[in-house]
Amino acid sequence: MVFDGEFLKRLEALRVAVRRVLHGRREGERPGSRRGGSSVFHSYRSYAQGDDFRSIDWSLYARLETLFVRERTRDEAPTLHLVLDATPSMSFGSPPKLDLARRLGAALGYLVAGEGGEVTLWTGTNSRTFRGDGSVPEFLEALGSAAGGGRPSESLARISGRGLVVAASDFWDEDLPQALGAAAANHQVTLLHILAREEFDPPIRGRVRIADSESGDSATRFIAEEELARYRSLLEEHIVGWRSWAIKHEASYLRVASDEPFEKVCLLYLRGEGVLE
Amino acid sequence: MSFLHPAAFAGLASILLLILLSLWRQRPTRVVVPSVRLWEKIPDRLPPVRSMRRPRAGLSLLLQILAAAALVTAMAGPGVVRPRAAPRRIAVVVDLSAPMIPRMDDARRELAKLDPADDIVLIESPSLARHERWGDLSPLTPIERAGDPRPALDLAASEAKRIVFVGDRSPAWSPPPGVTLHLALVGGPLRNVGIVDAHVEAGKIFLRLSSPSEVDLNLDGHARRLTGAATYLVEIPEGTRRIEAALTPDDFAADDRVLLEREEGPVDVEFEGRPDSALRAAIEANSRARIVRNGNPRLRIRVGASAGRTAPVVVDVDPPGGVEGWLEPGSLAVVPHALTRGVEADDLRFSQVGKIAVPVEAALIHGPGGIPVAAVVKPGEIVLAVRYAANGWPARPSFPIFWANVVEYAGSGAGAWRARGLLDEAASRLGMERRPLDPAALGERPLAPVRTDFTGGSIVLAGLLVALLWGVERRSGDSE
Repeated sequence: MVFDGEFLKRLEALRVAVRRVLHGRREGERPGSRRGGSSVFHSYRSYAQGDDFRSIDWSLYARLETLFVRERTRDEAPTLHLVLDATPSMSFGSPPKLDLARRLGAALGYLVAGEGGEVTLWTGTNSRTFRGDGSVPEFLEALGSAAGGGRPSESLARISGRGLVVAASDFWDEDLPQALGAAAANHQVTLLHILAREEFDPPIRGRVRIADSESGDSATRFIAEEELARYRSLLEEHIVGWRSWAIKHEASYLRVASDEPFEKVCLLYLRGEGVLE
Repeated sequence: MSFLHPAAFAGLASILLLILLSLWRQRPTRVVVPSVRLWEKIPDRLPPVRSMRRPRAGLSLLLQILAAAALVTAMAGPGVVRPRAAPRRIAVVVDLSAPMIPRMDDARRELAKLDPADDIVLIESPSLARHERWGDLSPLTPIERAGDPRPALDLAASEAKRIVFVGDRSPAWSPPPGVTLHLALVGGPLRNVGIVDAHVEAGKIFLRLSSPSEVDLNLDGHARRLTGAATYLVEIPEGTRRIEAALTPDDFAADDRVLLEREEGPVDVEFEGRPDSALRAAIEANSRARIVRNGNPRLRIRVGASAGRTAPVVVDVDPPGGVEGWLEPGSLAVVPHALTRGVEADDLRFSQVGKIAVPVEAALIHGPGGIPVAAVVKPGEIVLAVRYAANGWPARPSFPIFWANVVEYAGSGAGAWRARGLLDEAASRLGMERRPLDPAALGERPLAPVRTDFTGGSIVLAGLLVALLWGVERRSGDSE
């Protein structure tokens, strides 16, 4: 997976927006949830035995005659859990939805790893972690070959800690709302909702047996304009549902068609949705 | 309706295949989508009636079935067999000899009674020209001579079982067994007087008519009218070159006018037998004489030959069959005549002379005892019953003079007049029989099964249906 030089230059001017305090394992440039280590003031607390005298705010003691200790936060690098939906449904579209998912994931992972962060690539129950910008080539290679994994809800159920969770999927997984709800409690969640153009306007007419690409379920329907209008309405509801879910869980949400130009999605839409800054 | 290849209808099984194929094509199409979740929420319904009918699919199938049926039918070779009157083969012989000249309108009327739908071959008599196409009869033109229709009738009998003869009299011919002869006779009385004979002889014109009548004579522009006789012998001025004899025009104009012209110019001479070199040299020395071979000479000189007369002027020298006996020449006398002008008796040194058996009008040379040995036996025929040695008569001046007289005689005397427009007697004899053709007598047309083939029509129909099908399929494709 190769980005051209111009794109990389513009991409490197951005970084993944972090709205929540991170709880990363690696020291970095972002304010962390752990105390100490940096010069960034966080809060006061009453002095307790054993505290470093150097952290006592003597000017406050002069005014209040009570010992308070100045607490500082530790700058941490972000941790990104990239949940890539590589189920068969993602192979639909022209180009396939999985292509755009991989490229968006690559851009986000590249930025996080580039600032020394940790990127964990999830496909179903499989995960692989990459640390620091030295791991970027390896990450991109793993991302390029990621395929045939389980459902994204299975990935989400296994993510622990606190960090950034980016789920790139078509969100047809019925267990996703619950799994994402659990993840949103501890993580800053970003939903990249990728749909194929054919899903917006299915080229189906007449008597058809509609088969599910993953479950094998099928439904025979007579499809005419009336049914297509109903389908479009349901799809709109589906999209609105996810957008509402994102608002409710303070998650970022971007719905995009698989044939949208990647650079435009990355540099314009992701910035517009506050995923990048 | 009949079919040439009924087995081809086995191809109708293809219609069953088309129906099965159509049903297979109408089954629900399987479409794989990323998720069936939303589709499951859409209630199924029966297709609307108009959709159930699938008018385009139905029309397409109908057109396919019709096209297949048309193709199969075309392969089977459809056709209708109906008994239909078959054309009759008829040979029509039209007499185009001279007596038919005034009868041609009647002849064409008779020919028009024939049905062009029949298979007719027209044979002209006496030329035997054949015409398979039965169309315009106006080019039929009689010739100005008599003709025997029997060869044409024989030819007709070899071509058809029904023969129609159009003429002015019944032919002296009997059809062979199995052949019927139908007569269309257009003869009958006509107002006609004709010139039967005309020739110039010894400075006189002789005319013979079929019956007494007036004759207008024109002699180099000088007109004379002869009246009251059936034969005329009229002196003509010396030097006359052109004589026209004409009767008052009547119903048969072909024999009403004769033109006699005196021929001048070169005289073609042909030798028969073996002439001696002196005779040949004497002829060749004459600038007016021109020796020809295998032509139609005006003057033929026969030496020791006895063939019939084949030229206007014939000179028999030493005729083997026309002499009673040979004599010593003895004393010879020359009678004044155009042929003996300048010929001296002293020059006539023959080795032998012959005695001419037939008394003659114009004896040129007399032998011993007044026996004629050279004579004009009749106009244009000269017998010279003499034998001579190379050093005899040919060595004398009268020899080339005599032959110069002969060439002059042939070129301007008897036999040098050419008659134009003179019919022979048979040609001017008009037929008197009249019997219109009865077309019903030709018999009914035989009924024959005639098959009208519809294969081409079936192929065209199949092509149209395929084109229509293509249009329907294309519209269907566009709308989808």
